[in-house]
Amino acid sequence: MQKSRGPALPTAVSIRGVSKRLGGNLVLDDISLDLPRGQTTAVLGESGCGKTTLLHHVNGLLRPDQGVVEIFGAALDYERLPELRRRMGYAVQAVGLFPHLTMRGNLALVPRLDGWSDERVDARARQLMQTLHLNADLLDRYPHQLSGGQRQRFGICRAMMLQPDLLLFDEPFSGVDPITRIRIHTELLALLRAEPATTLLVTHDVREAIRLSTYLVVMAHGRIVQHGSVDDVLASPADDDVARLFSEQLRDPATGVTR
Amino acid sequence: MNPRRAPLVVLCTCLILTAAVGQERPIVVGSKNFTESYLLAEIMAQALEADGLTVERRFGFGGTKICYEALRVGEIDLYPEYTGTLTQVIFPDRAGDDPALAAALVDNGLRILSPFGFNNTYALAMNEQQAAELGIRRISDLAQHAALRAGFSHEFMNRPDGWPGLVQTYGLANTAKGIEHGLAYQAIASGNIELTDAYSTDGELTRYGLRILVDDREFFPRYLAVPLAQATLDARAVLVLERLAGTLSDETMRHWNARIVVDGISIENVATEFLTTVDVKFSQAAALGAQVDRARANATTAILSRLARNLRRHLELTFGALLLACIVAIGLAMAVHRSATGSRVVLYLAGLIQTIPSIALLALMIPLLGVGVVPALAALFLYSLLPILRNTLTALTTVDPVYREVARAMGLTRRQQLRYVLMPLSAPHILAGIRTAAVISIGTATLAAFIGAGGLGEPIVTGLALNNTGLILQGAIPAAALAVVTELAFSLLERRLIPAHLRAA
Repeated sequence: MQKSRGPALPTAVSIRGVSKRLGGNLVLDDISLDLPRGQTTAVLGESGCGKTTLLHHVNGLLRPDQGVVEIFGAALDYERLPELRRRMGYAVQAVGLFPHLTMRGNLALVPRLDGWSDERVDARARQLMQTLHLNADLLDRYPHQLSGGQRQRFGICRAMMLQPDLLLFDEPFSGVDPITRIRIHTELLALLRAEPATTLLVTHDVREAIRLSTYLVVMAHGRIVQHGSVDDVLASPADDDVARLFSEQLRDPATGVTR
Repeated sequence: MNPRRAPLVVLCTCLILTAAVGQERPIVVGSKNFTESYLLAEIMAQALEADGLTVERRFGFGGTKICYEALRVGEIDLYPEYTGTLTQVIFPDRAGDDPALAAALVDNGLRILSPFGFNNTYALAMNEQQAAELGIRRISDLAQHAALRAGFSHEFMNRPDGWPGLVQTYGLANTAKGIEHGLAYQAIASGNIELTDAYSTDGELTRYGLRILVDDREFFPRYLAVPLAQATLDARAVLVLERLAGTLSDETMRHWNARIVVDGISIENVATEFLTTVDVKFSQAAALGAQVDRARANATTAILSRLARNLRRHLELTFGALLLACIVAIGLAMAVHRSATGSRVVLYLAGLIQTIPSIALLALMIPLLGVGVVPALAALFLYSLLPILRNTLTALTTVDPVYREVARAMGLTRRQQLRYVLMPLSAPHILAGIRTAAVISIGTATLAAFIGAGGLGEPIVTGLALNNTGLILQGAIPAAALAVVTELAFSLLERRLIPAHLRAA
């Protein structure tokens, strides 16, 4: 697929003509989308617009009724999902840290299955935790013994342990207060600068999308309404609904002035 | 599977195998679970021993069908039976005459030896004083006293020559309910019932001051006690047993029964006492044996060693079955938990097994697996399945969907999802299921004594049959204690295995 604007970047994920029905509703309606390698693409939209469903097609949690998903240049092989998914970090809103494991256990689970030594696991964990301002003594705690912000950070750590080529984030920061969220954004940007990965971020928070990503995709009713670089999309919203989405969220609460 | 469990599996398999094939066979004497059957069996056993034969005692089978089945499949070589029971219960389809009975026995590879002499037929008994006040002497008198409540043994309630036939022959209208025979006399003494079935040679009749009502229409068939044996029974043993023919009359049998149930003398000693009256040869050998027996029975160490033996067997039964049930139930649950239909079918089947009364399930095992440890293990295993299966399946299917989704998205294979996420998260529930199964199993295992598997049920069953409360407590107290200890042990296990925040409240 040719891009109309910007340099032609190599494609990490290519979604072509994907449609999906769930419970009788057409949740994805002929979606086509390319994720440029090493860049962050944010998918914006209201609840129920299909953005999470789209993300679930990338790592094969769902299979399309029609269309194809290509990862790193090859059609997604549904027989080899466990292997492929280890190259895709995954973090979700509820974080999903396993309650029966300590943080060390959560971080080490998949690396150990991949044959990592304890030392290597520990070193990698500490490296990530340092950037995310997590103290090493938290490693022996269980999820319920951590604050919301700490859990979100460990969620990101776990997603990035294997240094994946692809990161899939489904509203991973929505459970924390605004101040903590901004701190985590900053830390994540630092991580991605050090270890660039193709990132797909699903969010309903416009500020978050702008802060973290290079490209914006706006979805409504299972379709892509607009797709382009952040500046382009902000400068010329495709329709009134997109314009309203931006103006509502970007108005400064103190001054009432839109950014 | 956890490698630490391997030795236990091996142990359990060995246990089953040795129980199944490792039996060297002396002459195995069986008995049903009431005093006279015990006594006749013990008399036969001592008589055989006096002649130098080796005897194994497998007493206390829980009912005619179970005891007969044990004989038919060759688990025991002989036991005392009654001719009336043979014609009415065991071969109800054959004509009641002697040639027909003999033919039926031959067909099954069995034979009866000469009768002991007495006729222990069914009888109806009621309180002597009350009977005198109401002027009831004969069964036909009951027709005028329909308000008298009857409590009958379950067998009597259902036999054609029991209550149903009696109602027809005498036109009775009394209400009747089933009651464990060992409790019926006490129920009369405490005024809960007025009427019960009795055996005409029962020694307890005198103790409780009960009158036997005259069977004026000669309804009850004759119940001559005979040794019922394998057709292949050792010829020497047959000769010994034939010397007992005709040695017991109704009166003497009631006397010897009363020695046990009224005077409280042990079955072994009464058997010896009786044998000394029969034959000089018996008397010498039996008296010698009795001295040994008496010394053995009186020592506290004997009680303790019997307790230890029963306890060990009880533990083998309970935890052997539990271990097998854990392996099968958890394995099955892991196999079917993804399929809603599969889960439902498996749970339904396990639930179906659970609805079979435990004593019936034990009896059902006999045609398949004989008597003793193996069928008891099988029955307890089947009973332990449901609690473990239900808890494991419920736990696996109700794990928070977020953890399922994350486990898949992280790149865990199905097996890894189960092992590292679903099973650990389900562990508290699974452990609770195993705990429930263990406690149920400890209770149910006391019934295993009915099919000759031993355990703490052995003194309970014997005590119930002999109306000996002390004996009942020797089984009941350790069984209750074992249940409590098991509960505690599982609490400790839960503390060790499961982090505090995941434990069930």
